[in-house]
Amino acid sequence: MQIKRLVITSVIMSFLSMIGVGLLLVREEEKKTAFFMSAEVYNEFDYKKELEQELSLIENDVRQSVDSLERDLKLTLEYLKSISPTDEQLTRFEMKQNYFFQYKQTEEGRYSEKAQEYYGLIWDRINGYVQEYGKDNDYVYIFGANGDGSVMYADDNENITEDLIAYVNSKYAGE
Amino acid sequence: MRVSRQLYIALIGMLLLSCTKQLNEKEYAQYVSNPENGLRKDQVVGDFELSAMYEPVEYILSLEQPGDIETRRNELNEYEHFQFRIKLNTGGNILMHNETSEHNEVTRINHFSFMCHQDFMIISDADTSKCVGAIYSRNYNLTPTIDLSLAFNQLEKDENWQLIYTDQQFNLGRTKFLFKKEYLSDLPEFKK
Repeated sequence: MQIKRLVITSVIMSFLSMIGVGLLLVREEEKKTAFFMSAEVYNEFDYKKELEQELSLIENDVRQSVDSLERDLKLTLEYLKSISPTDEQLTRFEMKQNYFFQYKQTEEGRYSEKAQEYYGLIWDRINGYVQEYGKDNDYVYIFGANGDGSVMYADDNENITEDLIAYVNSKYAGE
Repeated sequence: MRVSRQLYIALIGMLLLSCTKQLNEKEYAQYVSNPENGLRKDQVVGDFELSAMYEPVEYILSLEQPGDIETRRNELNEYEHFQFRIKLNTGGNILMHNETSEHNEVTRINHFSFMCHQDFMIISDADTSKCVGAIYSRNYNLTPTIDLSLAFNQLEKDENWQLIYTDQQFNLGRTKFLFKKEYLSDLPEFKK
């Protein structure tokens, strides 16, 4: 009698554990994952395009002012070469040259600082939108593939790059 | 025949009029603040949540004390009104968030009190409108929010409006809020 009960209990236990394993497997299959080509999303993001335009305006400003100082410096040098410059003239030229190098360095630094700031702003925004996209669409993981080996292989069916580009741009437009 | 046509037109007119939503004070407040009605837009940017809410004139009237409603309506109708909120989701003193020498509490208070109207504009189909006035409601750190009332010159309601905020204080960059014409042109009336 007791053996019969033991057998029944063990059958029930193994049946329940099989159901448990089955449920776990189903859950595992339900876990949605996807990847996107991060460089593509970055390049197609409207915010990036806008900031790139602003950055090129800053770049133009910097280039124009540096070029104009450089031209002035060259003209002065040519003039000095054509005469026998006095010590005072040479000292002045040296001061001018130092000012030019300092100015160029400062302006180029300002430009690269701005470029870095914009890069950070763009990626912060993309990261935020990807999080929202993941939550809205019940993803467990979304991987960013950028060709550096972080994602070595992924099925193309899991590629959400196009969807994500549309999503981040509509979010950025305020929709 | 002509009488029946006039009667028909009158009936259609009455039907259309009766279709306009009429809301009391409480219902109006709920309507405006419900994002599903298209008059409030929220965006999360990093640790911050930015909310822009369009305030129809009827809504503002519903909040005010009874008085000469027509005069007040005419005054309010000269502008488009928005409430704008910057909320620090992590809590704490928003004015001291990531404080740097150029972004300290006092400069932020000064910025939001006197200069922040420059941070806002609206693009509607082909036109760009700058913010003509911004009022900063200080809350002395009771809540981690910056609350602003914005005014723009009157805009066409049969166009989409894109409110653009370019942040100068918290390194949030540019954020946009789209208000669609189908919501702007179908505003409820205030039921007294």
